[in-house]
Amino acid sequence: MAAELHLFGDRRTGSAERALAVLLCLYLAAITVWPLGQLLVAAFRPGDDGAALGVMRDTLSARATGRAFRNTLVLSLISVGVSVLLGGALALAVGLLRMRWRAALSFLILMPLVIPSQTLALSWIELMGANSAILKPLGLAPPPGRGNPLYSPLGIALVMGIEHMPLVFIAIHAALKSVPADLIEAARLAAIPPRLVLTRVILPLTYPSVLAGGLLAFTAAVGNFGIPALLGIPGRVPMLTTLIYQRLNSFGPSAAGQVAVLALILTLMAVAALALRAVLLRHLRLRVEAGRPHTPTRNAPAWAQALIWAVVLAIAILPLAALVLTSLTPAIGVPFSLQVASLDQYHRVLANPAVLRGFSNSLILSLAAALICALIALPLAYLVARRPSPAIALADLLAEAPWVVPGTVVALAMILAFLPPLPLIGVSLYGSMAIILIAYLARFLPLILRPVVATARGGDPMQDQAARIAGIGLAGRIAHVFAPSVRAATLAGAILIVMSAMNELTLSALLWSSGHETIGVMVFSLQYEGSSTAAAAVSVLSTALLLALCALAELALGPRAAQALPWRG
Amino acid sequence: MPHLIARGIRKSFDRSVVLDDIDLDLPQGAFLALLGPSGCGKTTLLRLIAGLETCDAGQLLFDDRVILSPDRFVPPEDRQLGMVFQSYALWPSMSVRGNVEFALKARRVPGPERRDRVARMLEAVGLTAHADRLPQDLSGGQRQRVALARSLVLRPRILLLDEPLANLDAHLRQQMLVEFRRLHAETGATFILVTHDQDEAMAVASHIAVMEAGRIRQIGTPEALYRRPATPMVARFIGHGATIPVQVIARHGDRCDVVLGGATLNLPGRADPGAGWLCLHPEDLRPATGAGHFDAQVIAQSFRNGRHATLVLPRIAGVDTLSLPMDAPAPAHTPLRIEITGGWVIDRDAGGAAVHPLSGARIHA
Repeated sequence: MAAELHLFGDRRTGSAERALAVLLCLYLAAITVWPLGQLLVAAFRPGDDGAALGVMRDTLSARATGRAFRNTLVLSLISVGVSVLLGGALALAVGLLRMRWRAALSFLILMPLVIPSQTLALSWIELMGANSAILKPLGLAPPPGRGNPLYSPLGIALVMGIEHMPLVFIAIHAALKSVPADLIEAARLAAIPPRLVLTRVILPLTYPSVLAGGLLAFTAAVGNFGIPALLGIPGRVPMLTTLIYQRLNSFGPSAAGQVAVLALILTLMAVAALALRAVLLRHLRLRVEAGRPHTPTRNAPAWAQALIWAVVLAIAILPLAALVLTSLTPAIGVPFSLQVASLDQYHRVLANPAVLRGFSNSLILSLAAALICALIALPLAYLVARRPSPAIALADLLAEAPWVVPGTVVALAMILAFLPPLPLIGVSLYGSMAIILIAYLARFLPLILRPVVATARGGDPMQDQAARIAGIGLAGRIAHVFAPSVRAATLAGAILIVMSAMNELTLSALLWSSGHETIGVMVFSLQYEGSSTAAAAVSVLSTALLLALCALAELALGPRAAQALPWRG
Repeated sequence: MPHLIARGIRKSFDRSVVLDDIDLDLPQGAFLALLGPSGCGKTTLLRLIAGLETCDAGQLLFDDRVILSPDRFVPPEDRQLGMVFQSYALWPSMSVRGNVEFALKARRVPGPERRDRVARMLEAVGLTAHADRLPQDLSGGQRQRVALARSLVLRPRILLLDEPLANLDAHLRQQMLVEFRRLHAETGATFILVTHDQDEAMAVASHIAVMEAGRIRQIGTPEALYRRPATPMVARFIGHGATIPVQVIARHGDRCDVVLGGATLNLPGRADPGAGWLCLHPEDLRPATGAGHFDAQVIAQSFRNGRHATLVLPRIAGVDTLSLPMDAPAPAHTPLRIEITGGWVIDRDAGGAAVHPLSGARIHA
């Protein structure tokens, strides 16, 4: 028995299942393993002088590399500090205090997760700039000559900290929800003062989540491109992601080896944080008996509620308000007032063919990515959950890779793999929409695969066995038995992909070409060219589109399935 | 004649043997109950017949066709059998009719014939009025009927039932047992039912295979198992039996002379002289009218089926408690003299390594 090779399943696995497993493995090999492998190959290439590992040696010893690495590490750590402070305080407040409109408060706190990072960066630029429509009337804006205080290392760390705050908030909020009421009531009955109940009973149960959420925020910060690009490039604060972008932009494919090494450093930082998180979660998690969750009984004092709302509004609404007001000014440098407010910018950007192309490209790309990922995830999840085999387990693991590594790394891998003409057809995919689509397919597959696999694992495998005994073929079983059982998870995952793909800038910033712009690319290049009012208008339009999609998703999924959506926490 | 044969089937999961040396020879149209305590391997054997498990050694044959051996595996979709799962495993997104119809559609059975077969099947299980409901809107008993109809509409030659009554209440269980017998008689298919409840097995099966620790300890008609158990395990498992140690002094064909306490008895059995077990059912015991055979003390009584079921503690070394029916109530601690009126004697080492099934070892209808 042991000598038999069960790579694609054991003897019970049907031949159709086996063929499907082979096809899915080939698909993943083409869009994931091959590109990421190219990246490794490029990084380990010999140098110009032919010395082994020469490219790596040269890149690692370059001063620019060291500076970008230090900036990435230090600013990411500071941003994690901001995320933990803000997210922790808000999670405690929302979880332990009783107040009105808690659901609305939660949604606002999770807003930075929904808003694309380039839009968030832009709105903070508008809020803190010399012409700030909100701070200037209050006399708080910096004087015109001094430049924007956010174009600085601390500015980057602050905005990244706010962007990733929801990750910490979600982790701690979940931990607080699992604190059983019995634990708190037992402490109360033992006459322990509330302050000690908080610090000695409740808080220790959240520490593992603080660490886990913090490490997740660190991974996100290391891989963030939109904020360092909009704040760090004008502020001359290079980070690894922006250094890769700038090198590729100025030197083209000849810089491939160098940037591959930079990408490898990025990957190692992100993966190290995630590995540490997995280890910590395994060892630090305190076993708490499940019980009735604690629900706060007393209303929070009015001043506390006011403070929390003020903080949340300042984080979630104020920058967006500044962005909207900027988009309503007729030209750059004109201070906002009701007299000059106009929709001119909107008329102008909607007349701009590149902007319209960006919107239609992003819509097409994200819908296509969601559809194809769903069509791949269904059979793959079926095999993972119902016909496990070593090859499929490996495919499941590898499918995760493009989501775990920073987006810039994925984009670079796609360039390395698909810039050379494809074998047989002799056409390069670079410069076409196809390369962006493939990058989306690789990067966003886990967003749908994870929930579908989780639902399938919780489902009843006997429904499939019953269909098998009834003599129903593989296609019939997947379409009529398996797919209906994971319908909600598939839909939620597909919506998540549409929203993420519509938001993203990191991949398309490196992969776009003239005629194939995305929304993110349009915002970035308009701002880069100095048309900040136009960039603001496009951002506002894209944010409105996103919020409309959120609402549509809630409606399409219905109240129960909508729990799977990210902004529901 | 189509039948199901198993020869020396062996299967282990991670080194623990779950099925060992399984031999079966089942004629077409039999109703076999696989009976045994949980973990005895009965469900694994059923899933093996279904094609959901493979074996390490041995063979499984439908008619004369090998469908399972270490180097041959016919997938479940090609075995032409039906199965009712413990959880019913109804497809939740399909209506009752959809569940029953699905496999016929997949086989491209033409519309009129398909509708006719589905309608007749729904009629047979009494679900015509619920044809358009979803499984989630049905009661447990109705779901069970859908599962039955879904398996039987394909006219399988073998229907496998995996603890199908475990999720039903006692009343529905009786009703479904009657249903099983009726459908078995109507379809002429071979039914194989897995259960841990011997009353269930006795109620429906034409043959019972008692399993323990991955082996079939005995296979035979319900009566053979009840009257002539082959091992002490079977004796205790079937019909609330008990075993007490005796000394066999002589054997005359199907009767044995045994010594119990001070008394010598002549009882049915096939034990050779030496140590033996006397297998007893409650009705083999009664309060002594004459000299009696042993002393005992009443522990407790309960009124059941018109008589007082009495639990007694016998004064015999190595015997725990025995149960017997009495006509009169007796308070606890009452001393009693008890008489043995029947029973079955087997060797003390019966049912160890070697299983020597009795008349029912090979079943021929």
